Amino acid sequence: MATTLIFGSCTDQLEEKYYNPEKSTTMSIPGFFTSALNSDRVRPSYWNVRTFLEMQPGVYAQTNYFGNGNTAYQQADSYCEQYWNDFYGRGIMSLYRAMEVTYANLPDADKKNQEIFMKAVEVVLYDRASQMVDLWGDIPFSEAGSLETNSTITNAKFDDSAELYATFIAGLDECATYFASASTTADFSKYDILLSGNVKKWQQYANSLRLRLLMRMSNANENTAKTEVLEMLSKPASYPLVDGAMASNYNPANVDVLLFPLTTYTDNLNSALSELNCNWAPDYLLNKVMAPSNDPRLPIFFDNTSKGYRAMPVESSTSWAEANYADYCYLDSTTFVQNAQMPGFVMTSSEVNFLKAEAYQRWGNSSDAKTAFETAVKQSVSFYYYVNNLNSAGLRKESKPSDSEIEAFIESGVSYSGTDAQKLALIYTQKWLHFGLWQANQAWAEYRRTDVPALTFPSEGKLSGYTTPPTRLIYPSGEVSNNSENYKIVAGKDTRSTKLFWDVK
Amino acid sequence: MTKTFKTGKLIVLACALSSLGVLHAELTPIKQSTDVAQQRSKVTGTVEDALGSVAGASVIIKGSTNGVITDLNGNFTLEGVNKGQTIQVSFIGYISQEIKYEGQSSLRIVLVEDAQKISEVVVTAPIGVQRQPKALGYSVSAITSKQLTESGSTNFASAMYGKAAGVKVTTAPGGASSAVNVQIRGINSLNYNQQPLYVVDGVMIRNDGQNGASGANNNNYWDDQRIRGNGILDINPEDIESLTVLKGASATALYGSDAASGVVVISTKKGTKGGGLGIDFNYNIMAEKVAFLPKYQNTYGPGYDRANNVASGATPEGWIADTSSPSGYRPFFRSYGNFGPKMEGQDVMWWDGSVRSYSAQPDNYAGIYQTGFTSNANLALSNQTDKLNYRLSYSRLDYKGTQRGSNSQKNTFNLNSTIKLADNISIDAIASYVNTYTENRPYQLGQVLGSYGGFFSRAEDMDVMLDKYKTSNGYKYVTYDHPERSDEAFKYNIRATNLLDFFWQQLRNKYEENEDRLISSVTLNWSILDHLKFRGRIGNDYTGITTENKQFNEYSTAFNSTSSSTGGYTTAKGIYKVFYGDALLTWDGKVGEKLGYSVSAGYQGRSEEYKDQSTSTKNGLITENWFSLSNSYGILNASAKRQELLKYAYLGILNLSYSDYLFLEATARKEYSSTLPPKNNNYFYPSVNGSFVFSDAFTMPEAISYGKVRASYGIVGNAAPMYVSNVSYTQDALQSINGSVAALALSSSYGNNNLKAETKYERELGLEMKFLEDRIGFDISYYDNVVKDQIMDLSTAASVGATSQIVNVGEIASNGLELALNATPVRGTVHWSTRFNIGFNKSKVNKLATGVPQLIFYDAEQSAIRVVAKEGEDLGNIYVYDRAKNENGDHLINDDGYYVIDKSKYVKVGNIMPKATGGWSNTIMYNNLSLDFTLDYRFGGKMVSTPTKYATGAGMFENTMKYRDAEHGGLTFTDDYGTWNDGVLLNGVNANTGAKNTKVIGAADYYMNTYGWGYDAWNEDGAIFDNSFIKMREISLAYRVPSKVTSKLGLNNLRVSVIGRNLFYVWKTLENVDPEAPLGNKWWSQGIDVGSTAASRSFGISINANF
Repeated sequence: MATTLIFGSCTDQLEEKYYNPEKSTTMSIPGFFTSALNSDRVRPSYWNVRTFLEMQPGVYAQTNYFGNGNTAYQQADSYCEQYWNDFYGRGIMSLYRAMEVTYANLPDADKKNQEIFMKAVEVVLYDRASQMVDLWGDIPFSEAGSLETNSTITNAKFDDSAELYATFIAGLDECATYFASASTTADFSKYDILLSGNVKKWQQYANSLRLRLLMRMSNANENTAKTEVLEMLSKPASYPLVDGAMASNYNPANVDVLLFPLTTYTDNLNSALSELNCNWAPDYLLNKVMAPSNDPRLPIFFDNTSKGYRAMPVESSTSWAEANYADYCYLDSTTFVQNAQMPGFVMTSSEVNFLKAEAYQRWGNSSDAKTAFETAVKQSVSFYYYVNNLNSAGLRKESKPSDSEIEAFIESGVSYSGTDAQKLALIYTQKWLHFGLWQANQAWAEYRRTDVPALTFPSEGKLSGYTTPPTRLIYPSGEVSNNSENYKIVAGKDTRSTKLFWDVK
Repeated sequence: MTKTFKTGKLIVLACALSSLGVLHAELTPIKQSTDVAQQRSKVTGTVEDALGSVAGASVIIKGSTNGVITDLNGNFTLEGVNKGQTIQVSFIGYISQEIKYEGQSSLRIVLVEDAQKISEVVVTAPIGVQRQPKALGYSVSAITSKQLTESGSTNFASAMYGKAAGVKVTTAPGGASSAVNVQIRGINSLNYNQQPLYVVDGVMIRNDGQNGASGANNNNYWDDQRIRGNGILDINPEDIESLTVLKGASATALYGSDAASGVVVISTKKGTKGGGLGIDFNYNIMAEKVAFLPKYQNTYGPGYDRANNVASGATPEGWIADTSSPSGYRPFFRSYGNFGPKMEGQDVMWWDGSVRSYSAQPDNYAGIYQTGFTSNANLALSNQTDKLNYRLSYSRLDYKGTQRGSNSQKNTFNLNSTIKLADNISIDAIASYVNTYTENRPYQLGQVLGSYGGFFSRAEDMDVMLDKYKTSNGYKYVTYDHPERSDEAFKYNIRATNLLDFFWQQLRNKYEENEDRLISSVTLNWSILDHLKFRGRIGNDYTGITTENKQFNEYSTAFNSTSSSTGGYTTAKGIYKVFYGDALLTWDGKVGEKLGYSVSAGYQGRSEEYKDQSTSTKNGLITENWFSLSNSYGILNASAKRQELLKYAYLGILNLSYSDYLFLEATARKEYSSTLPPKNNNYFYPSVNGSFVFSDAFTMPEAISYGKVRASYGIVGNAAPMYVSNVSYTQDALQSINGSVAALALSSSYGNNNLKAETKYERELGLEMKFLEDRIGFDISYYDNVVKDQIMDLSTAASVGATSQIVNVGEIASNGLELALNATPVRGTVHWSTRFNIGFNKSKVNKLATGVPQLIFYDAEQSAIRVVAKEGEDLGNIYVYDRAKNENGDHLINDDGYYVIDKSKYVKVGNIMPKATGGWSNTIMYNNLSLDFTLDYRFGGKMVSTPTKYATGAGMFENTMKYRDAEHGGLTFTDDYGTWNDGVLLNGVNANTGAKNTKVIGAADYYMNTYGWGYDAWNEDGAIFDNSFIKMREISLAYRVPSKVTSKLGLNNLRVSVIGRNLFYVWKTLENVDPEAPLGNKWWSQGIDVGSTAASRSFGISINANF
């Protein structure tokens, strides 16, 4: 009997089989860039909403309903760790390092072509990194990503949060300056799934983000913030912003920085919201802010009940809520719950004008502040009607109320009057409303900075040590265990009641 | 292109080296010449074992060459015996018997099988070379076919419990379809290849290679919840002739990289024993019931501490006012705690809308499960002629597990044949075809036992849960907040929806696996010249698996959200191939009278290929319950995965023997592996071993019948799994607002282009001795090893750019002692033989690579519990955050009255690895009755079980009765809600004032805060437990029907046994979790419980017949 042994036992076959055929080994700046932009932490995706926003910042800023259980204010460690890892591990921080390495190895001639990717990703990095700072305080940044940089594990120190803010603010200025004179390329227009290569919008985005960060730190370091912000606001031509040119009836699609869902996306937030009853209306937002002012956004925010617009009181016991929830409002299906077309809100004109309003109110004149504030509110109305109308699932869409109806609301519902403090409170409250659950990171940060609105948090029956919401998230355990040497230096600050550097009130 | 080895065709010709039968004769030399110098008597007799007659046994007059072999019916006639002479009866694998001849005209000799007596067992030494046991310079353990089958185990691995020193077996709960893990000599690799290599009839078979680096069921709360099987489940114990465990590096060196964790060598049965057409039939049927369940309290129903009850809208005691309830109150169904009102049979409105009695349901956990059944039939035909011998068997296994909804069937066909082509050429052709159908593979209960979302109260009636998990029209249960979906919606919010999900998954949804596996090999043995032999083999292990997952619609499509539906359908296919080949050329000869030698050179190669494809519907099914890909709501999800590897090696062996009592073996192997970076993809390793049978070399005292010392030293390399060291990116085509755009994503584990193979260096010393004509014997081995350049997927802080990296992390070292004892204390009408073994092992980290401060294997409860190792520390150490103390050692108590947990440092509280494991087996025979039983044990080491902590915090267990009333030590105190008798005053001082703690807390507050999720809990007390046990693993009581009866039935033999497995613990330290609860195939997974399914015990009947 004869048989054969067939083994391609040669070294080239050994090498061929070394690499996973399902993966790529070619580093590509545009490919990494698109990955960095394509984040389900930015879009309203199931996992982020269900496990992060509505369980942590959404509770601590009351932008969503939450069940009054004994662990309501305890952060979910593994979910928070996943958020953290999505920034570092496979996230934008590491992608940025991979891009840096790829860029450094390019011939000079190619560097010129690719520079625009590097600047754009920098803006996005500062955006997401500043949100990490707002959640945790000091974070690894300058030394992060050693695996991508040189294939070794070198643990990164936790950079000081105030210094990081300064770095971001300076970096954004440089990026904005770059985009002022840059022109797009065919590749950039294609791979830029955020702004489709529109360099003007990149410039506006960088400036607006810088404005956000300056205002965020303005209570801690008022002089710097004031100087820089007033410089920006006084030279709108040099510092174009995402402000919709102050137009109330603007088109968010053309103006705002929005991360649209992929065209293959058909899911929606129905499960994410209903699983924890976060499709129920939040108390303060509806009962104290929107219903009393007869807000024109009510019909697209909530489904009305026979007893009118009302939300369950935040101190309701769970069993009472379970028995009576049907008498209270739900979030609107068309706008939020079942809207597969809802984009991720990265930077909106409304926010920028609220920021301007605060700056004018504090450091300029009140009438500029009033204009900015009213524009911001009107833009928010336009914005949410726009979101409502994006829905393509066949649900009933609402048309925006007439300008005069909105004007009436501005006059009576959110009248810009009273003391300076009352005016600022009005700005902060409306901005908090505008952020909502969808930008709960921003809502929570601003709530901590301004202590507005005056939310109440029930504390009875909670587990020991968790009777109030935290003022920051504690570091995820994976980082603590594996980066222990550097962690030791910040361990003292790692409590749930440590205040962020900008939280000085 | 430089080829180092020419791809080509090795023409492998055949020869007749040996069939197994020939070897038997070689190893037990029997000369059949009869010395007729004197006139002597003639003796006739039969030789039998527990199964019946033994053919081929040797019957010899001790001290002479006069002997015969028994015929097919076990009969012999021995002539020329003198009175006073001793007749010695022996057969391979049995204890030899000696009978003094005093003129008996006929003899009946019953032989007893003996596994531990390896000096009589044929060992299949490296790569299929048969060697004489006394020539082995390393330790092996052999397990006989009888030991593997006597208690009706459905796979051979779980029949190995306690039967081989240094071999630790753990079976995932879940029954016949669940993986069995085997750990030989402790930890040999931190991250990969932790299971032994399985070699069946010379071919390396697939165990769980398709799972790649991550394995299956390792600490996974989120991903795949089904308890997976592994490849060894497909090897039918009834078809196994012999099983040998090779442990040390020298023993395994020739098997190559995959042998670093030991080798289990299996030979399947051949058609030799009877000669002529023989038919064997075995059948066993067993019932299986869940056992060793937690001890629950049955006094208090759902409810929390008083403040939380009130905040939740209940009375302080935990009743919720409800006018629709007969008593005016209903239980707090949403509570995961069991600190509510006493269950006293009050009539209350239940969550399903009916009025029920509020009573304890002591057996509700057991009620989740059902009684399982196993039916296993095996029919074998065998025959032997001059030219051909074969054995053909068919087995059918029907299994219904203890988990509802799950069952499986397995058909196994096995053919083992030897064809003699010429005097010097023979071919062994072996094929085994296995078809397995598995429906609703058991689910792990991590999301029921390890999550408050699965906590059902002590008042929960499992019949109600089983009734309500689906509605009467086949939809999923409807919670209180969706009354629009069904009028069967629950009246109130309940807690244990994860349990209902589990029932929905197992009872309504249908998950089916259909697996076809063909393992085949052809071996050619050719004696080219007298001293030159060639052996060539090719083998193939092919698996085709089809999986379908039918998820039924959860509610009517009328209630779908606008862009999704429910339900789903997944169809997946996997094709796994292992192609194996080896060739070996051997020259043997003698120099002078005493020095024998043999030199071999060979080649061994293996390719593996794993292809998986899966397509599933997305966002549900558009038409209800129609399971087809064309019924997907969204765009289909499709994925495909290819994995391939190639390993080959050149090897050489040198054997020397002197005077048949001194032996030396040296081996060398140069190995190539595609799984390592090209610059490091080959490595070389040698081994050497020797043995000295001093009882043959020197004259020994009468009492010593055998003595051998052995020593070995070996090195084994171990490569990484496929692709883990690649630095590569996943490309995804994003359908964006700009059209299709390529996005390049990073991996969560970073590769390493400098990765090297890990290398194990091991030395071993051993002593085997037998006394008093082999009635007592022992085998002792000591070994120590270091494994350098350990490959590990090192978990890293995400901020370094990935959550892990594959690195050569350092060096680990182990040492251990193995002892096997066997004895035959009683001989005669009553025969008792006993075998005992014990294995000690300890592994530690010698060195870590620079920049690696410690290794973290497991991290839970916000890092409050970790299994980590630093340089110089033992592997498996458990560290926790402990309760804070002041300088006087007083516990610090916070203002609320609870322990303060010190999160600034870790305290070592134990180790997950056992100090010793082993077993004790016994055979007692009396006339036609035989009793076999095996105990196995584990001493030392701990288990981490966070689900136990959660359940303690929820007041589920009997031990949480403490403090709940004055009788159980509760203090009388007054709080905002009244005066109570459940006060707890923790002993310690106030953390702020330093004064003695005076803050009395309620028992519920105490448990919920002290044993809750996370790092504020007293984790050591709640989740870390000693895990030692002695378990009655197997009992088999067999009755052999007398030949008078069987011959009338036309049978040669008939044996009926009552059998039991996992019957009871003689002793155990764990109270509320089974010692064998852990799942997963990594060494540390075996010390961590994440909430698996309940353990079980089985008992049944077994029938063995042959014609």
